[in-house]
Amino acid sequence: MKLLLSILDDRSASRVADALVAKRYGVTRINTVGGFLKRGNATLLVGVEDSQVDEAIKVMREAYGHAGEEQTGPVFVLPVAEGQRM
Amino acid sequence: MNRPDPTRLAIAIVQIDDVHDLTHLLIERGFGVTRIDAAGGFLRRENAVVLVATDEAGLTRFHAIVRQTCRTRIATWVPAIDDGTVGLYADPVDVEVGGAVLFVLPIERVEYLSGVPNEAVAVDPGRSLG
Repeated sequence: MKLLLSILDDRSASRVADALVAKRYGVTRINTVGGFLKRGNATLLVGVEDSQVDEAIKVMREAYGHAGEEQTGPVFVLPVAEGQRM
Repeated sequence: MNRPDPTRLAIAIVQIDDVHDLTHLLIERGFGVTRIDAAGGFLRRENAVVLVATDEAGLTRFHAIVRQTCRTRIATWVPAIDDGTVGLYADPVDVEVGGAVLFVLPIERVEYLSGVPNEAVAVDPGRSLG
């Protein structure tokens, strides 16, 4: 299992979270404060099986929908020692 | 401009009194910082969770900045007695607060939702937490 941790601006976070929910991924959104300008942003936590990582990132990328060369919208893939729904 | 991919996610839990100095110094030194306000610990004080994605070299600098800005101090805690006893009071207790709790998690892979795709980060299987 992996934990996807993504830090996005508020608006993008809403679109990305909605898209993930529509595909039945479990998403937790934490409103956070980031960077330089202390703008509101959001941290999304998505727990996925190893085999779902690519698909989940694809869903996120399509919903994010920013074009351009600059790398924005980081998604960190973190290993999970144990994950279960109780 | 593309930066090298981070390999470590540092999660620091710090006192709310320290978070301002910490995040400012981190940003000044070029770290990307995400802050989550939270509550916890023995005194249920407000605290903050600071997320920083970095690499091994950055981690050393990150440690130094945390040590510099998040100091340990002593707070006085007066235990509440609410069992109806009149005239009974509890002695105040000195409690150490501040400092920081730090977790460092390995980042297996980094993707960006926009921009030129990265080559997949090589993951050393021996380092996986499995």
